[in-house]
Amino acid sequence: MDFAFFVQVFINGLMLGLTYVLIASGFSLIYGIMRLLNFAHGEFYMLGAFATYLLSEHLGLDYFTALILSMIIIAGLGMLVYRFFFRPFRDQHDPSLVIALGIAMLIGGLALLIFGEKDKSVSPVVSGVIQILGATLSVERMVVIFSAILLMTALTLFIKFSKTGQAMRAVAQDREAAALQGIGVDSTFMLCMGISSALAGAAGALLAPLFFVNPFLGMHAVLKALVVVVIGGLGSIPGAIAGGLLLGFVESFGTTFLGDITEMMGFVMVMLVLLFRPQGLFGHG
Amino acid sequence: MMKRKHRVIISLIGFMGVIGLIFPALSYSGPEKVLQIGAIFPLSGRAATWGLAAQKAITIKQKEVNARGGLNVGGEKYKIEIIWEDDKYNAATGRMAAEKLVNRDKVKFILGSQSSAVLLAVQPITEPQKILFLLNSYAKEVLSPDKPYSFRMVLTSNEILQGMYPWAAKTYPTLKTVAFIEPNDASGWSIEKDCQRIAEQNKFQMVFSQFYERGTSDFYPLLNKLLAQKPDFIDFTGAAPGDQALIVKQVRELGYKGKTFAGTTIDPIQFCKIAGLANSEGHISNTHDLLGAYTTDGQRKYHDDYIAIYGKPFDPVTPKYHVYLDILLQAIEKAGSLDPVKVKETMEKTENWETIFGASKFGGKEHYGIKHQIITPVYVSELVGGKLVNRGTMMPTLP
Amino acid sequence: MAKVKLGHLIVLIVLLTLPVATRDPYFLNLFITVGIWTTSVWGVRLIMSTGQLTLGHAAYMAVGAYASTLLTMKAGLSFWLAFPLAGMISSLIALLIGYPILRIKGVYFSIITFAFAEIIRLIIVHWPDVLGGYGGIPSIPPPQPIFSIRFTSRVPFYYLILAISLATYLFMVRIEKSRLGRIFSSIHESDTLAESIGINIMKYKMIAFCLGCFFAGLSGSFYAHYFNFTSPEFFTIWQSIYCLIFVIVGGVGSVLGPFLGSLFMTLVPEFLRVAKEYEPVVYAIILILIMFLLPGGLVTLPDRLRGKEKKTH
Repeated sequence: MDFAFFVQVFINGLMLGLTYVLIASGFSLIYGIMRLLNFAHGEFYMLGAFATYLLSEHLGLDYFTALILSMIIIAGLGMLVYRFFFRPFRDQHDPSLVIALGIAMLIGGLALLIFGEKDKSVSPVVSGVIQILGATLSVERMVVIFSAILLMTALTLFIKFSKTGQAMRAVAQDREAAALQGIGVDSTFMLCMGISSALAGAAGALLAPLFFVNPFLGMHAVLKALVVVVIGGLGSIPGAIAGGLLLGFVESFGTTFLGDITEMMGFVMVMLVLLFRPQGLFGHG
Repeated sequence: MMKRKHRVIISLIGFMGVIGLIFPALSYSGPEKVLQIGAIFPLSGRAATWGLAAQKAITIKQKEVNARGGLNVGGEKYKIEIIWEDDKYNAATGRMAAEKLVNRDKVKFILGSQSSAVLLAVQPITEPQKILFLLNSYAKEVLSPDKPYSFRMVLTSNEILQGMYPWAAKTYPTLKTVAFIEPNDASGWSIEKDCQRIAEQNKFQMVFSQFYERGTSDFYPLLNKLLAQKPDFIDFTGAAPGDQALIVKQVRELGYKGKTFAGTTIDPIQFCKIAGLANSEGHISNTHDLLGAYTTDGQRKYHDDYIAIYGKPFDPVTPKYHVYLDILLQAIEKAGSLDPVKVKETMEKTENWETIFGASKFGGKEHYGIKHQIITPVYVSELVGGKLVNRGTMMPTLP
Repeated sequence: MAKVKLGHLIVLIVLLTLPVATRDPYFLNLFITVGIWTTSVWGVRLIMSTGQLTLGHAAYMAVGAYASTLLTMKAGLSFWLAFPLAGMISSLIALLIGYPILRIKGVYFSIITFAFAEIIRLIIVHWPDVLGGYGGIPSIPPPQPIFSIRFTSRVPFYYLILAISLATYLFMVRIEKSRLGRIFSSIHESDTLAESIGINIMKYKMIAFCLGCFFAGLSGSFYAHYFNFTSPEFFTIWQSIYCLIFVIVGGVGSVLGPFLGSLFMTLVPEFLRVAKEYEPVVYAIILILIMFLLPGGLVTLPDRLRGKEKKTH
């Protein structure tokens, strides 16, 4: 095992981690602001991939246009789902969980009916590999890494500095107080769903050319998202970033050095976090 | 005074009871004689690729037989009707489906399934009632002397690799070391055991073997470790088709120059799309291009029938499922009876079956304890420029 | 002294005579499946009565199934002994896990039950020599003959699960009306208030949790000996989620909720067997419709029909 090997493991962890961050950040945002565990989040990720597939492979659009359009479409879809399915149960904890599960099942089932179970692929836009300190990284993955960092930066800046972002944080902290201050809670929720779904869709779109697209991506994605945000702290974007990277590194090192026991790692980490620091690394309890 | 609530509940139960009683009476078929055969396959969900492929192949045979008037059973003609059930690759669902087929539809013959969990859950129903069960799955336990009515109709990794590994040893004498990647599930585990054993028998040295979590798309962490062992070739027979393409893509990105190898059937178009044309070059699989050389008349006819019914493109995963219905109907015709006991005896006594693969037979007495494993040819192909090139055809020896 | 209502008696008679009315094994199998889920889901409801939402119930069914399997196949015990023991072992695991996690509230508790369920499933998978791994354990023997009743056909299994379900039902009704039940609901209403009047909430949450998992274990044990086969694929996250869905669709507010929910969600997909590929969508649509139209669950249907407005909780 030489230095190049370790660099490779590190880069693998970074890549894996950033994909988790992309998927989990929207999930965390929804929980933080709306106090909802949106199990349908993974399905938006899957639909983002499918939207990109349809737009680029069937309509012939170039990849980047397809990416942006997919984000917009999925954002719209997310807002529709909120308006008609989530809003009526906004203040009820157990029912909103069940509805989210129901929507996840519905979207997953419909996608299977419409698209079929075969794996589809999106043609890669870039090709080739580069070498970094002896480790290999495909150019495709570099693009994803940069896009992920870009999106996360944009998100963090938005939440921190924009007026809407501040409104969102106010609602997250204390819904009633925010309402008293004249902040539209409902419109904030709507916007939150839109942004979060757009992020999920972007994740799906970015990863589609790297891997493949099928209707089953959603379940796996949302489970990972759950693990990430619990570790990082439900409702915290820095937490989602930290949690995602941590899970990525743990899984990368684990798979390489420990073998298939790594499958349990994520859940063990969840248990440990919930036992000793339930609010997660960055959460507020 | 009974509460309204309870009246509703009782009427609900009563209603369902009535439905349950009249349901059987509702199935009525025309005046011609019909042979109902049950089929349990994953028709939705992750494994639907295989279930739907099986459905296509079986339907092709069904249509062919019905077009010539039906099946000849002791002088009478029977139209073939298949009752399809979806097991969703889930044992409980598969069991329910078997319950329905056996107890409600009263079929005597069942075709199915892919998942060993489904089969192991269904066999306690079919065996005691002497239902002839033609099945698949990679698990060894599915065939055994105490399951006399189960026959496996597709090759498992045990038979396939027994054909492919000697070929590999002969064709690539410089290859010495092999790495295995399998998914962490029942078939992955079962296949890995076969891989190790057969590789060893053929004097290959295993330098790496690891399972990956189902749902993984990024294999870099695993491949990183694998490549450090410098294997001459990589075998991922148990991986799902999409995963196989990803493994090939990613291992080439990481600079691997050895051979990639899988004892399963691939769809070359899909495979090359996901993996990339250049990356797929040289991949070895057990796929038969029915338009290439070494094709029998039966296979050409099958290909044409497929295109006629389903249109292009042809799905190369389907042909191996043709023998399910083909051999069953041949056995019934030979036995001249619809009694599964007699049909089973005929299947066991017959030494040679004429299928689209040429001459096939059942074997496996030594390995499984019972001679109920079909033996059909293994077709080794290599992907060259996105097309399948046949590199060898062999019959596995199965004592 | 339980007051036996006429309505209840009639339902009971229908259930008792069902196998006489229809000897159709397929139909009986459906009802047996309903019985298994109902028993298990009553456990979920019990846990929910203290305000804890469990997302990992299937894991405790798994513990019961595997415990019962090993006790009968490896330790040579009779099913009739293994069955209650399986329930107790599930309870014990619940106790061990419950101790650290029950002080965690709300959504975190649900997540941890979920994480733990996955860990249990993965432990089963990674211990193949003893627990059969992914392939599961086949050829599990049916229950040994009792009172000269042999378990060779569906009918004895039906009556057995009916007996188990009835016993569970009576137990749940008893609990609800007892002091224990009142303590549970006061904890559900308000943790802090209950604590302030001197109730040790940890202790009672623990009792509810262990009892709930006891019934999960029982149903898992029956499951294994009825199917003659057990596998980790029986007890996935989806099964846990279904447990939750069954109780909510049936209605958390009433003891009959789990029965109605299991009955409805098992029978409806069966009768809609027409379009198999559409099943997951149909299931989801039914669930969503129930959530919108009958928020209190199916138990509120008669009241809704009568025009009463049930308060949604």
